[in-house]
Order: sequence, then structure tokens, then C-alpha cells
Amino acid sequence: MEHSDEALLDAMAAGDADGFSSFYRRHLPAVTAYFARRVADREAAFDLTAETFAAVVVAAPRFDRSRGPAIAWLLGIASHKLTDSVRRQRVEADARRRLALEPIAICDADLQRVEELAADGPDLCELVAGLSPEHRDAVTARVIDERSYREIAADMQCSEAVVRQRVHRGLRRLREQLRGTT
Amino acid sequence: MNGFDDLERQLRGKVAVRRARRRWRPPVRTLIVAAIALASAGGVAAAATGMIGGPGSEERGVQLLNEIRRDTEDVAACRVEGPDRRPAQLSALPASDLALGAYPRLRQPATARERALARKYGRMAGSTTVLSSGARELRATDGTRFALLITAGRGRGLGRGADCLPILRAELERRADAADAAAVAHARRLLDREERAYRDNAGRERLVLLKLRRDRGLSSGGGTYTDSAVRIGTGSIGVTRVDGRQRTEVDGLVPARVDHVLVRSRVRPKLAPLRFAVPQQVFHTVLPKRFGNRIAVQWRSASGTVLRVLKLRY
Repeated sequence: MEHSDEALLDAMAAGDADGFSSFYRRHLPAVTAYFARRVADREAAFDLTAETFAAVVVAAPRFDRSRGPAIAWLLGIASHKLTDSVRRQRVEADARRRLALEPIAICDADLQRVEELAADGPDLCELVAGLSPEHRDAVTARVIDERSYREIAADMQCSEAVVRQRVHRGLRRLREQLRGTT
Repeated sequence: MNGFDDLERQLRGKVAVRRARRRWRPPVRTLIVAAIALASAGGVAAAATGMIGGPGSEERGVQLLNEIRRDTEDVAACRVEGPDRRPAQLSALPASDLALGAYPRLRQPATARERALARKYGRMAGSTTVLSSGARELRATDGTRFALLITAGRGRGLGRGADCLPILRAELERRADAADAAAVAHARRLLDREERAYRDNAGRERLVLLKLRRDRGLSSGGGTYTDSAVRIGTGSIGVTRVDGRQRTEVDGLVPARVDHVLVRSRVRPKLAPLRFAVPQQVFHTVLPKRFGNRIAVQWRSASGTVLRVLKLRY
């Protein structure tokens, strides 16, 4: 039986390692491809992926499904990690340090996999771009740019409820597409 | 295990540990709320902590094989050989011209102490046979001692030889009916892969550098096949713990024409590189923390020409 991302995050917060594994395997290709297409250095793409999933483990207990679906939450973490790394010119290791992870030795096969995912993997932003214009704009403004519903509603000249509905539907569509590609 | 699998393994462990920690030190208010929640919605709480998903067939295959390895550790052919167990055999075979050309010190006869090192650490270098002419004790400029060994026997890994494979296979087949079919199939594939590695590497000359520590004996090592490496040499980076403090060490073996080695940070490229002379063709250093986890080791000639760059990370 396939569980929703939200159920997996709840299980993770309750200490279920298998819940984490299912979440990790479901989203690893998309997250790795997201970074691999945006940073030239394959090792940095691996580090960003590792840092993103470490942040997922750290923050899973704080995940609040009333604020949006898990895929939006994951995309937000990945987007923040990428922005931070560009601003600071290095990949931070805060989450990995906090979890006291042992150093991870990556081999040529890992770099090859990053390379392959950069070429063929699902891209979260491309999937967002493939949404209908209304859903795409709403998802981008809310999830990637992290603007408030009120601001977005003012820009789009519609009510907050309509924006919420567009974000919700856009993310649901995105989640369905991701299931189909991973 | 590759890096992605290692990441998953480590994070799985942290998920359970973090939950356990939270259980041990809950704030009083949380305890009260949890008690109320459990009393009113026990079914929901139980469902949330239950198993979701489960390891895939590949992971189950690895687990099954690991169980079999543990259970067969006492069988002679499967025993992991420490330096104090059976010594390696010394072979009078000469080292290859390629190895002799890259490491001229190997042309001199080995001392009795060096032959003893070869016997002691040969199996730790992943082989049953070490060339008696290919054992050298080397010292880096900071005083760190290394054993350079040339092995010619079959196999890889720490002392568990190819002879163990039939025993592992037999045990796997014995358990096959009771175990999950997909996991058994994956375990069979892993054993096939291991057998191919033994077969393909049988008899190949391998050059192994082992770091020796005064306090703990052997510490770490790395190797290279001399017939496949155009510019043979090794480099390794690793985290060690000394007196409770974690530090990052870098070492390596370089061929004769290398005059010095530069170690650069790839995390902070503007930092001044570290320079090491290599009179005995080895170098070793404890890396400053500011260098980060990614470095480039440049082999340089006397004129400063870069002969090779090894990118290392941990």
C-alpha cells in the first residue's frame, strides 16, 4: 500500500525509519535532479541533496499539513538550501552537523548517478512550469517565493481563498506528476 | 555501499534516535498533553508509530547476506583475518617493471623488519600473498609511518577470502525457502558480483599503502592496481578520532618523479595551499578545519609542473 507524503512525515516524526526510507526513495531522484541542474559541481549537488534530506529529518516533527502539502514543504527546503549555498558560496552542513552524521564518502557511481539524474531526472521546477498558468503562478509565488496569500491575492486580483485553492490544486497535480516520474 | 545508500542508512538511524531522545526528555507539559491524547485517541497514536512501507528487496537482500556473514564468521575460510591471526605468505616473485620504475626503493632488498611487516599486515591489505621484495616501511616528513606492500594474491577486503564464497552460497540456499524470494535473488546477485571481482582481480599486482600507528597498530590504507593505473599512486582522506577529538587526515603515495605535493581546499580555494616534500614518496598531514571536506592533492615536479590532481573528499 502506498502512503501519502504527509503520512510518511508523520511516521518519521514518530520515529519510524521505514517511513523516512519510503519518503527518501520517492523524492531522491527529483531533489537530486533539481540541484544537479542548478549547480555545475556534481559533488555540491550531492551535498545539497544530503543536506536537504537531513533537514527533512530535523524538521519532520514540525511539519504542519495545514500549511500545505509535503511536496511544497520539501521544495521549499530544497529551494532555501540552494539560495543559501549561492549566497554563501559554499554548501552549509547545519542539518548534517545537528544530526552528527558521519562523513559520507561518495564514489564515481554516485557522481554518475547525479549526472544521469541531471540529464533524465524529474525536475520540480519544470513540472511546476508545466502546470496551467493560474496554478503555476500561485504555486511559484507561494512555495518558491514564499509570499503571503494576502500579497499574492492582491497581485492576482482575486480573493485569498481562490489563491489557496489554486496552490492546493497545483501542488496536487505536481504530486501526481512526481508519482508518475519517480 | 554507495553514497546515496549510506546517506539513507545514516538518516534512518537518526530518525529512530531522535524519537528515542524525545521520549527520554519530554517537557512536563508535553507529557500531560500526550497522556490526554493517548487516553482519548490511542488508536491513532498507535497507527502513527507503526511500520510504514518497509525495506525494499535489495535492502533485505543485503541484510540477509550480512546475517549469513555474521553467522559464518567462525568458519575458518570466512574468518576476518586481523594482523595477529594467520600471517600472509611471502612470495619471491619480482615486482613489475612499472612498480619498480615508479618506486625505485623497491629495487633495494627488504630488511627483516620489512618482511615481518609484510607477513603481519599482508592479509589486512586484502591478500594472502605479499611479494617479499615489495614490502617497505616508509616515513612521511611529519614522522608518520607507513607500510608499502605489493600484493599478488587473489581477493579484496579485509582478509575474508574467495574460499568463503561457496560457504556463503550454501548457507544462502539453505535459508532460501524460509526467506523472501526477492531478497534471496538480490543476495545471489551480490555473491555473483563478489565472485567476479575475485576472478577478475586474481593474481593482479596491487600496491597498498597502510598507515601504521604507534598506539593502535594499523590505522587505514588504500591501494591501486599497478597494471591499470597509468600514473600509479594513492591518496586517501579520512576522519580519525585521537584523544576524543575528531580530525581529518590526508595521506598518499606518489611515484618517484613527484618532487612535492600541494594540498588545496576545494571548499575555500583562496586559502594558501599546504606544501609537502616527499623524500620517501609518502606524505601525511592533519588537515586544518578551515579546509573543509573537499580537497585537491596536486603532484608536482621540481619545476612546479602539475603531474596529477587527485580530488578527495569525505
